[in-house]
Amino acid sequence: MGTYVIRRLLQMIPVILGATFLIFTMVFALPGDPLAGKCGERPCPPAYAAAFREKYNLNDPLPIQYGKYVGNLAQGDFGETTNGIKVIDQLKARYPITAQLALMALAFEAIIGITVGVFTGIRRGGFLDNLVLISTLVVISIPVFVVGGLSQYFLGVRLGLFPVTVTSANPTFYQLMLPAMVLGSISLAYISRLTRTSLVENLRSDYVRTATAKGLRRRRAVGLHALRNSLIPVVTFIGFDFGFLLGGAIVTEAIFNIPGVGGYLFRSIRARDGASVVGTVTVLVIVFLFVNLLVDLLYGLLDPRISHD
Amino acid sequence: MTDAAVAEVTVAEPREGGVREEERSLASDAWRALRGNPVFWVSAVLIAVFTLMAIWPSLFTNTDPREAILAESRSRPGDGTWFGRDIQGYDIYARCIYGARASILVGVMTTAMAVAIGGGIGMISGYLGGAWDATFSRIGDIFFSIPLLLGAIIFLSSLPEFFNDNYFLVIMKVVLALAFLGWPSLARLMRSSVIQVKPNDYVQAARALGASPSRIIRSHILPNSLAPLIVVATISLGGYIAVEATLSFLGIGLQPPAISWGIDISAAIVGLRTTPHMLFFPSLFLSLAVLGFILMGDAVRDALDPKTR
Repeated sequence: MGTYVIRRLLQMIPVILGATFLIFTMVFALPGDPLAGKCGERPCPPAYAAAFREKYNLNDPLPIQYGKYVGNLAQGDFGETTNGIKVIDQLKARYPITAQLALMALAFEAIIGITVGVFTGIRRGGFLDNLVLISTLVVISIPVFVVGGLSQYFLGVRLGLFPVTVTSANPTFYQLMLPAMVLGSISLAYISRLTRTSLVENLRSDYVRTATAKGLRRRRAVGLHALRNSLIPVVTFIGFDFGFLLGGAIVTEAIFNIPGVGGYLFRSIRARDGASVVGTVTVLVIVFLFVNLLVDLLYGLLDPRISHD
Repeated sequence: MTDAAVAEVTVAEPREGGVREEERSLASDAWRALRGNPVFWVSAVLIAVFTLMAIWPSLFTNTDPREAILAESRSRPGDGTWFGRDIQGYDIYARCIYGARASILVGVMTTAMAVAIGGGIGMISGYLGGAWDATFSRIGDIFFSIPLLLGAIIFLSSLPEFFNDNYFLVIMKVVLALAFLGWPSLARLMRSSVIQVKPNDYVQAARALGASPSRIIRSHILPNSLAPLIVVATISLGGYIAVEATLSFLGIGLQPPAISWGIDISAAIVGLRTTPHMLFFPSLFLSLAVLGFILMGDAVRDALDPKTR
């Protein structure tokens, strides 16, 4: 177990370096000049421009710029935006909001998705099963920005069940509820289908038959024996999904006016603010890798046949 | 007629043992299952209609989608046009028809490119194994750890102005971004199915007979490992269409004057409370197109998987 974790952590290093390099290269290639418009409606004085370029290493070629960036990053320094604001402060203010949104979406899709999957899985071919199969397909095929706009209109404006937009820098649980449901809606459909398929397959397996044969009630045989093993693909999906939720939050945040990392990243790309973009994505990649390591460790808990030794 | 022919053949060439089993390959078996599946026909019709729309939009409408009649701006469905007019006075029906081209082109070309890159790399790492496998898997991990939407936004912003020259280049820009970030999941899939097929006896036999690696791959490994790739590629085709619309919605993918459902939805979302028809029709077309490909992938998977029969 210990060596497995260490090996996985070591494997993460090249992935993080590669991903940051990829992002860094793309940001380096962004057209436009970060100095444009910096000094009002006239070009910046040469002395200021030179000092600015020196400070942000803009004169160095790409590999050296990247090397300097990684060197600072290894010491926990995310650099400054071109406005002189520390990127780490921005990330500290915004990541918790996006993380809360993503976690709420994850909880929503996992709880409802698995419940629906179990109910349709144990009554395969019934009315509920067919209804869920069709409605999940419909949900999957509607893009998230359409779901967002429609639910904002019907649930927020028409029925007044939820706040229409987020109005403060520290959104409450209630304000984030509708955005989280929108964000998690597509994955909810995937999770319920995945749980259903996987449960149906496991219900036919020998160990479930044994459990029933030795006199366990159906509830226990399904809940304890079949469901636990069926959750492995579901947990894998949820692990991958966490990263995509953080990334996909960009659309939901735009619709509901949430001050998370999505909007920040979007503006930073437009403003050609390299440090912010690379910093934001780096944190995202690291979170994604750690969540997936956690998922792999969870396998051992769910299925005793899987061991990491 | 066919039955008679089969009967004749059976009489003419009786087999040893007297019982003639009909020879059925996986493909003909799958086709037999597909033909009986109404879901397959629904999706086939949807895909056929949208493809026809993309190739030959004038078959469906004579109206120019760029003909702006401002006097009738935001008119309701039925006031002289089928779907009403949008804020620019464009005929929404014509916009919906012409919007299919961008979506289908992006979907098909991205899938083709991602399958070529992902399938090729997956084949190499699965077949050769060892250092190749390790290298390609790590490279795949790097791309995989960057969320598709975020990566695409940065990638699209960093492309030079050259790509905004004409319609085809603008489409290619989105295709490149999505294929660039979308191949790793297909590569992983291909790798795992090649690893499953490789140890089979017929592959070993071919090698023992002295077949060259390219021949082994072409006539033994590829046909037997392609099925999962086809299924996932069909489903992701729908997904790429949704991502294209999302990028256009965010103002990063296609730009006006290109016609795309995403652009129209993004323009309509401001009038959600007053003119919902402007949002409804492009969303409907977009969702139906995505649904068509997802249903097709689902039907093909069911047909190829003997466990579901």
